[in-house]
Amino acid sequence: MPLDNRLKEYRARLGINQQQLGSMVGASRQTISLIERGDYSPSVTLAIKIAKVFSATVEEIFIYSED
Amino acid sequence: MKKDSKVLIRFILLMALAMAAGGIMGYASASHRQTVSGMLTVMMDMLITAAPAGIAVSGLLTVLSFTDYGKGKTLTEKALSGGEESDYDAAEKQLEKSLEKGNYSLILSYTALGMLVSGFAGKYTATDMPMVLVALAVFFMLMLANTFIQSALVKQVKRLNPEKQGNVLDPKFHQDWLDSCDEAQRALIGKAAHAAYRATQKAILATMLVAMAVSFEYPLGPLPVVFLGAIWLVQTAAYMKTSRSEGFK
Repeated sequence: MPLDNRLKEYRARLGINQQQLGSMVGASRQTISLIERGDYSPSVTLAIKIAKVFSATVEEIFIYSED
Repeated sequence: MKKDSKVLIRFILLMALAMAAGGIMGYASASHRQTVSGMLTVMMDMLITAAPAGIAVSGLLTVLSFTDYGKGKTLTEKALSGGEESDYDAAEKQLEKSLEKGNYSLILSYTALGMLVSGFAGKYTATDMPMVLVALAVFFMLMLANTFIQSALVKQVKRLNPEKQGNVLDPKFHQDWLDSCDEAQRALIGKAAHAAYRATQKAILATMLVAMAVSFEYPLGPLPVVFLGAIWLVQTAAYMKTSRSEGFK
C-alpha cells in the first residue's frame, strides 16, 4: 500500500523542483513525481536519502497508516 | 480454504464448458462439413484480400502517432522552458500515446504483410500484382516512418529525463534503457511486463485452440500451432529463467 507523504510540502520549503530533488537522491524526476502522487512507495534506502536532504526523519515525511 | 474450493469449482466448470464447446464444434463441423469448409475458404480469401486495407489502417495509426508526437513535443518544450511540474507529466503522457499508436501500427502492418504474402501461394493473379506491389511499398514506408518516430520519441523522453540511456537503432536498446531506470521505473516496467506475460499466455492458448478447430476443416498444416507453441515455450522459459536467476542471486 502506498504511503501518504509530505514530500511536496518539504520540497517547497527548500525551494527545489522534482528534477533537483531527484538528482540529490540519485532518483529520476519521474520517481519523485510518482512518490509525491502516492503512486509509489520508495525503498527504505531512497526514503532515508530523501529524509536526509530535508534534515528530517523518514516518519516526518512518510506517513504510514493501517487502513 | 473456502476460497480454494470456489476456485476449484470455477476451474472444473470452465473445463466442462470448454469440453462442451469442443464437442459442439466437432459435431457441427462433422455434420456440416461442406458448409464449414466453404465458410473457412471464403474467410481465408477475405483475409488475403483485406491485407492492403490492414496496411492502410496501419498508415492511419502512423499518422495519428505523428500527430500525438507533435503535441508531445510542444508539451516537452513548454515543460523545459520553465513550465510547471505537471507539464512534465503531461508531456510524458502525450509521448506515451504516440508510442502506443506507433507500436500498434507496427504490429498491424507486419500482420497485414503476412496476410499479403500468404496470397502469393496461388491466390494472386497478374492483375493483382500492381495492388500487391503498392501495398508492399507502403509497408516499407511505414517501417521507415515508425523507426523515425520511435527514435524521435526517445529523443524527447531523454530531454525530459536526461538520465535515460539508449539508442533505438542499437540492438541493446532495451537493456541500456532498463539499466538507466531507477527503482520506481523498474517497478513500473515489471508491472507492465507481468500484465503482458499474463495476457500473452491467455492469447496463445486461445489462438492455439482456434487454430486446432480450424485445422479440422481447413488445411492450415501444423506450422501455425508449432509456431504458437514455440512462442509459448520461449516466453515461459524466459520468465522462468529470469524469475529463478533474480530470486536466487
